[in-house]
Amino acid sequence: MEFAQASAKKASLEEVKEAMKKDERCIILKRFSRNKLAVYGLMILFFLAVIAILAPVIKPAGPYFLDVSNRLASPGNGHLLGTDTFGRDLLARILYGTRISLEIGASVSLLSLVFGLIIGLYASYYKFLDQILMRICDGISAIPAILLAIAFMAVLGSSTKNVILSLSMVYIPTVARIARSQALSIMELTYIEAMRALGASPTRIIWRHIAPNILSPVIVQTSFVFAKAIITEAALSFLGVGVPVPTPSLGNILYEAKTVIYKAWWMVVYPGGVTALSILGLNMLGDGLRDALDQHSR
Amino acid sequence: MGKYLMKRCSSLIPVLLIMSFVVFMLIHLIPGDPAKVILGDEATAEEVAVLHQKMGLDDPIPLQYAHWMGRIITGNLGESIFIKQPMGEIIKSHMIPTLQLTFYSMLFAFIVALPLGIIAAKNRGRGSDSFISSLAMIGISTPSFLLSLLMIMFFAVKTGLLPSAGYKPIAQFGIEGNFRYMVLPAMALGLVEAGLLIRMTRSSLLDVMQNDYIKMARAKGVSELVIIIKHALKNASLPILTVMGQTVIAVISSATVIETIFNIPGVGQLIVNSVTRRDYDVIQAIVLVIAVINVLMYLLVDILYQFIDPRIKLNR
Repeated sequence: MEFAQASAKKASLEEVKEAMKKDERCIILKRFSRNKLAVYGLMILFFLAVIAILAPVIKPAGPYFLDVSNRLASPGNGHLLGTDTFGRDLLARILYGTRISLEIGASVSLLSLVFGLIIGLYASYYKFLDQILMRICDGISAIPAILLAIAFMAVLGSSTKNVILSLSMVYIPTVARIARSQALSIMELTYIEAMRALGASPTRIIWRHIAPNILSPVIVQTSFVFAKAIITEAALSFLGVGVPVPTPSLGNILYEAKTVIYKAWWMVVYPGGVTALSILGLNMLGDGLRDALDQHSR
Repeated sequence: MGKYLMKRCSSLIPVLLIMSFVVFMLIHLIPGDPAKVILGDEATAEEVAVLHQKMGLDDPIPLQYAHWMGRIITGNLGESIFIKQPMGEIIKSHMIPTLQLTFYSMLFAFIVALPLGIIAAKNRGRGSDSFISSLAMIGISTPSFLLSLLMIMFFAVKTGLLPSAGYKPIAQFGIEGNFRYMVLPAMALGLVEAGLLIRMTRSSLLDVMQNDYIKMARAKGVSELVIIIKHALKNASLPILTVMGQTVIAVISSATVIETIFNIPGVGQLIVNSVTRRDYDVIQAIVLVIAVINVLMYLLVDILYQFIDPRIKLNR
């Protein structure tokens, strides 16, 4: 009898917990959907992701097909956005380029999220690790991102894989720092002390009790890393040290455009527009997420 | 103050050490034998062996780092394989155009951002505020190299108002001649940074405007503009100053891309050319110098804090 009561109580507690969780999710969702900027940002990103994924359907000929008799053709006449110096369809180049740029941005932000979270969490938990890891992060962040990325690319050689690798190395410290500072404030709370007193293992405390509570600011930071990664990738490819030609990326289409800027405006305006649009979308989304997830900022 | 300076400076040492170690390790990230990569495919095995020996690549890494550091501290930043000049001279001569560009861009960003930030804060929630805020958002989201290309298309190709590329030293062509060639690159760099500055000016002004002493001034009938400029701006200037400090470094490093577009012989162009020449000593030296400038910039901002706001106790 007693047991049944207790389990009923437990169930209701679980229910309450579940309801509270749901409530919180609702609040976040509501705040997010009320934030017009964020919703527009998400819509822009969704649109870009869809056209990037559908690139092979929209342009089955692919980004390398040469229409030699139509080099630098202006928009129209069978090529909606015109052609480039080799007679390749610009729309196809932009679609596949968006695909590569988004892939790089997503990979970099995922890698920075995972490693930044691990570094930040363990640094906050173990004092001796903190000193070492954070000094390394300080040292790396002392070098401006684009310069460090250029230097990494110079030694590693240009390839899509190396762009992802060097940009991740550049942006992991920014995520790690946010994760650490958030985790440190959680560590001060009584329930962590209680978990310790109960004899919970550090791994359990770190991943089950601290990690979920620092996720929102870390994700916000990651969305900005996404935007920065796209800008930096474009800059690297624009300098000719990023994604190597003939693979299209938004940056190296603009790199080719630089030489024909006097006669082919479409080579600048369209890929440039898509680059700016993707960064704009990410920044809007990041701002919106920050407002929705961060209780302190409002 | 002196005590604080000592403490603050000594805290820089680990940062500088780690940062220099990262720069030093760059050469060891080269896949394969660095000596072979530097000399290229045409080098003979003997030449590679000589350079390998000279670079001390067989020593343990900590020893190599100690040698390298010893050299750097005595002011020897290495030597370029292509430019037959001391490294200090090379960097100095390339730094001048970059610093000029930085100065013009900062000036431009400041002139654009401060009034716009103030107007946005003053008209919070109204149309002009959202217009300026969206402008700032677009500014932040437009890569400066894209802006450069668009501005070349408009100002140089279409209208022919300004030169599309090139650099004229002040010594020969005077400030006016120098400035004419700097307008486009400075605008391209400045506008992007202005976006960030507008946001910061607006939000820190809004923070300060909630204080009681502002309400008091309003109650006394002081005009809104005087309140902002005389009372609010000074207290809002700390976050603005921090962003300015970051902006200087952002401008210097974004200049890498802009200088190659506008053909300005600055450090940015030097590093990009050095990448294609595989001139690793130059790359390391530039990264090191700019990183040191970055660290010192943060120090400078910290020290300036106290002059602006004496309430900040530095020797805590």
